[in-house]
Amino acid sequence: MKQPGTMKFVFILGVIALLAQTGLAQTTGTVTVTGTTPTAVSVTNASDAALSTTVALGSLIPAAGGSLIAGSVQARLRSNKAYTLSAQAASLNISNPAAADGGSSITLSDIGFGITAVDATGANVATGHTDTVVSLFNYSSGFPAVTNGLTPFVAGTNATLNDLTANTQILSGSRISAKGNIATNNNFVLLTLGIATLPQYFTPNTGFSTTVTLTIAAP
Amino acid sequence: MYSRHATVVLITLSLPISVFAQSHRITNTADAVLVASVGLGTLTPGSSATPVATQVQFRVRSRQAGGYRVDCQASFTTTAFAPVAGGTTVSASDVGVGITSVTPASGVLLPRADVISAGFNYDPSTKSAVNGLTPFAGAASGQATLADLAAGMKILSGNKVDNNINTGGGTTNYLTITIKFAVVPQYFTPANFTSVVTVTISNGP
Repeated sequence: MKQPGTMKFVFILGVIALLAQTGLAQTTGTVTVTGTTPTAVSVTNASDAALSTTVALGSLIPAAGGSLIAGSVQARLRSNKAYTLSAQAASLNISNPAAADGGSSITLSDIGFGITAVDATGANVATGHTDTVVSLFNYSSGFPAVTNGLTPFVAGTNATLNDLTANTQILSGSRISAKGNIATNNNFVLLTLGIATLPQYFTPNTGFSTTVTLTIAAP
Repeated sequence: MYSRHATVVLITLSLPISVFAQSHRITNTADAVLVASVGLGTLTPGSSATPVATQVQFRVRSRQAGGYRVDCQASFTTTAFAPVAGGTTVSASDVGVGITSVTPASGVLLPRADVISAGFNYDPSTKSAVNGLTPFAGAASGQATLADLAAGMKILSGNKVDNNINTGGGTTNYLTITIKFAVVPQYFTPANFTSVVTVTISNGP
């Protein structure tokens, strides 16, 4: 009479043991590793530091001939996506201007600004990369010739800083960088920006300046 | 008679998977099931040569006379949210993986003879990027990556850890394993990536 009860107890004990030990069979585990490689763009100087440089055009003394006084700035552009580069110039700040006396003072329209070279030949530049310079800002063939000693930049044809009073796109392109970071020496577009003006009998001053802000984006 | 036979069958089935038969155990550091998630975060490229790293720790117990081995197998998936456009997307070979420590609890059997497999015995977070590029050359070169684990691979083995594999508070019969993962942020294709690493312990070596 006792045997069925005993067997039932053993049976239940066996079930408990089975379930418990099955649950403890921990011979595997999982580790999930996640990350994000975000949209990224950068513009730096030619040393991969922040781009903050001064182009000094010097003392602009008028002379015979047609030589522009020019300067240039180089910038490295990187992106992992199609990009646009825009620029904006602040108002021209003129120090200690003399009386105009019916003459002309230098203005943003007298200072040519544009892209003179785009180099995208690095080994870690994305395959098939292309760049498109907005035609107005394309000075790859150089600045226009001076005629009659006057500013050679024609509005609507030859860009000047006056075309940058609002943030304006000057360049665009496909993905630049295949990989690498800002320290990589071959995954960027090397951009050369040219700035030029012709010394003329503008109203005297002790200096003028403006700040051009470059912005790269990956819309 | 039914009960008697059922019990015999049940016990027969139970024995192979009972605590008396099981020789290894792998858990998280709270002795629970190892299901960990570690994030490398948003990897914005900068100028630094130092990889971004994360780590996971887990416990290994083994009472197998012949020792234990730990194998890992890793999947790797990416979800791009921009065109590749002639560039490179982060891959398993860009994520370094290494065992940075095997720490015995106070009660384990000594001396220890734990062996980290070739290529996994390094700290990927200390490898500096050269020219801003991935510094991990693969297990064969001493710097394992998740790509080395695609088909599954032994990463660690050793002698018997203790005479039991009990878990819970107060137990000192385990090894704590630390694995680090690292990646150098770069101008990879915009994407999310996920790797699921399955860790398995079995009879060694």
